[in-house]
Amino acid sequence: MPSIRISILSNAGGAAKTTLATHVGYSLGAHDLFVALVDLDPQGSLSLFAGLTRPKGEEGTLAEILKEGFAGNWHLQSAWEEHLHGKVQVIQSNTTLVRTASELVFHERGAYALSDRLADYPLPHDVIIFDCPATLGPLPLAALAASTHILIPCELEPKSISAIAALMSWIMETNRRLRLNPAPKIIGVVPSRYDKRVAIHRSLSQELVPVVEAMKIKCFSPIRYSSDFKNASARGIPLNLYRPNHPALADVKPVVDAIEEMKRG
Amino acid sequence: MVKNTFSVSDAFGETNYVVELESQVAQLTQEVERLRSAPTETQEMKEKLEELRSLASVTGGGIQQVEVSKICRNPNQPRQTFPTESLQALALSIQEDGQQQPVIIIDNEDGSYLLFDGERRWRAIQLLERETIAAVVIARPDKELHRQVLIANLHRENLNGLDMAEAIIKELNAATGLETKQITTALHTGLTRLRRYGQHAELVDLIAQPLGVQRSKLEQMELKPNEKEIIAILLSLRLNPYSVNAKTFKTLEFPEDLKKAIRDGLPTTHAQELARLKGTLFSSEKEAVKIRRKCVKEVLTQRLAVPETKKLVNSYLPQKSKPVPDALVFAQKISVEGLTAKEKESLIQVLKQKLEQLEN
Repeated sequence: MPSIRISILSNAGGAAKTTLATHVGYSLGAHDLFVALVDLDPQGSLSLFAGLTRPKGEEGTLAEILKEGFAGNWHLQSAWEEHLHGKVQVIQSNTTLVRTASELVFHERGAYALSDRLADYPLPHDVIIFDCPATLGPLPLAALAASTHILIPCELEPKSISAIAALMSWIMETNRRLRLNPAPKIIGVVPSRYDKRVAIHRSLSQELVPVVEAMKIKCFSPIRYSSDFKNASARGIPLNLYRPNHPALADVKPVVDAIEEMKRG
Repeated sequence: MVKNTFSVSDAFGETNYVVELESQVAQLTQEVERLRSAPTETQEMKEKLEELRSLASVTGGGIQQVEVSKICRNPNQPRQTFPTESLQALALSIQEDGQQQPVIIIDNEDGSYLLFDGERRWRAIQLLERETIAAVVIARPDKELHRQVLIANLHRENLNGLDMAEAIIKELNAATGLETKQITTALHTGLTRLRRYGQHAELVDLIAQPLGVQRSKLEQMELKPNEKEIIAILLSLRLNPYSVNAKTFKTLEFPEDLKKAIRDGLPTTHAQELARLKGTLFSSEKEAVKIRRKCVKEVLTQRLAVPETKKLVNSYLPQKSKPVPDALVFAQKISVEGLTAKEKESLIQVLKQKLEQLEN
């Protein structure tokens, strides 16, 4: 069965995209699926979360892969090797991706650059996760064109929620403009950084669910805020390795389960 | 609940109709593609292409000017109050700044449309005696229309308490077949039992959980079938059953004159205070009505805030003199066990002072 390719999109910064990519990726790997995490963010935060050293130049990064003349070397780096033994691999990025992204704008098949590379040199992984930056530019566009599914994390405050409303419109319009067939399906909205003591988090969480479900999109239970996510990322490991019994991990489980079910059927 | 000036459903207003339009266009496009591969059915293909063409001319914004006379109001919509002042303000705003949001209408396919969302704007446009209104058309929703409109309005700011209560009752009645009194009683009994069993907090946590989790957790709670059904529906609408019971449903018990006042613009919070002026506290219900009417007038003309309304109501209630026996009961209850030497001394001092006051 061909791979599931998931774009994690949220055009408001700090919505927990990379956190979600890391933790979903780790859990799927721990459940014996072969996972590729692709960093599409010039910030390169995926390297930090995966405990990998970020490359300095273009070599060994996604920027090199998206250039003409790519011959199939995906530069996959194994993450959390001692625990997952190569089940989860990362394609890293750094600021060299910025220039590549702007060059994509002028390329005749810029939007399909990532999609074309995957068509010419298919990756063997069961699940590929694209960790996207918080913009609506050429990079998320390329990710969308190469995806079968989308996951939308969202903070429970007005700016984030307004942003994902606009994001969903953008996704619909892009699917049509690029004639993506089959169009990537939104797996769901994942509210993040939820603190049940904060009144506005509770009320927005309540308000958000029916609005999202009315569009026939799933709204997952919120992932709680925990500073342990930060502590774990500082050590380059997921929360699962930092504090294996942490309650926040139960919040991520439904998302992992949903993806696993899609893969295993 | 925190009162937000930010509304999630408004934030998604645009997205909703983009989603509808895009999925319609996608569907039609697929059909055309399918028909293209079957060369014999040219007539059907021509018609679908025509449909697609006209829809595509609407997409890319999708807003049309629709004749106001072709749009029918939705008799099922929860909002039943349209205070004139509020409509006039909206009309003025539309006149000065233009219509900011298109209304959403459903094509009845007979030349007429049904209003899905935007009755206030539709009425305001008519006040301006304009012939057309900016609108977007959506497909007929496959779920029951009432529930869709209810959900669209339920978490909006300005639906008044009475409209909301009646809309929720209507929905519960449609779903369970129970009458109003049965519903309010079942809800009250169920919630009281849960509080007794200490399951109150658990219930409140379910509000933001997915429907499947709500259902399964409810099964494990001490509830009778009717109670369970009602609470399940409230939770699925993302309402707090305790708030609905304590505040929302109370409006249904208000006397008719207060209900009318709410429909005419009296805020529900103020009405709650005025509801304390019960007929049983006065010489007759007639007198109570008179006093309430007076108070409503004062609240509205003087634009009283809730605390001021409370004071006003208190001034009409028969005065309760504070009985001396209260102090007696209290004094008898003072415990002299387990006091430290210092505490004993201070207590003796205080009691000596009180004794002096009493003897003077």
